[in-house]
Amino acid sequence: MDHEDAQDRLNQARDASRRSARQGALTTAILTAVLITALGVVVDLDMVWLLGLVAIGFVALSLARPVKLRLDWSDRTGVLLLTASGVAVAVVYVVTQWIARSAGVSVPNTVSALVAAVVVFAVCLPALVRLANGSTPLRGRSGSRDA
Amino acid sequence: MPDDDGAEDAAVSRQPLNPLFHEPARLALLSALAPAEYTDFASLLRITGVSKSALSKHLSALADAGVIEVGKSDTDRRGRRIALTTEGRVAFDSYLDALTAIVQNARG
Repeated sequence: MDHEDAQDRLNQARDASRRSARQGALTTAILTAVLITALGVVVDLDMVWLLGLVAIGFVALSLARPVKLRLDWSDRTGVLLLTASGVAVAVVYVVTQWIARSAGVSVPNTVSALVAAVVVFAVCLPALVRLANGSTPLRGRSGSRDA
Repeated sequence: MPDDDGAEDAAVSRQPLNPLFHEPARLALLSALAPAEYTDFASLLRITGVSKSALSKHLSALADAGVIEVGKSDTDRRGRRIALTTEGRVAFDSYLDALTAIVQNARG
């Protein structure tokens, strides 16, 4: 095998690995967004007794997810990004709730949960993809697409 | 030491490439499994873009070689969960090492 074939194969492998990591991260982000939104709706409807059902549903969906990522917890930057994104979601939730309550919105928890869910996709998703890609042997392989 | 690294690269590039991983679909399949604890059959179909029957054949060959393990889904009796074995990860890593060494040697 010559070096061009080898480079092509490495590129193919990297593409497939990224697609898989992205799909797994997307599944996790969807699950998290659904959980946050469900919590907001349940609180606004004043049906807190439904929280148990929401928790059971979340666990069931987690078990049924099609791709479970293998995260590289030794990647400090990735862990920091994920932690920071979690904090960002919480901050956005609180700030949006405060604004919604000040504006007299009737469903402040739902509104803030929806905005927080958007933040999950914007910031948690890339952090998860990074941590998942870090766990593959393809990390740090030389020569991306320049060959 | 750079000399040691060069000798190591040369040694890796002389390693025969595992013929089991040569097939492009198998390479895509293993690469898709690498960042995951497990992946289900339908997701692998989407990621690799191969047909159902081809994917089944590749999975059987890789499972027979002990590179992957195919288990049942917790929630769907008909669902299959596919994961790389520890040995499979090591073998795949070696294969990628050999490919990387070929590229690096050509670049000097």
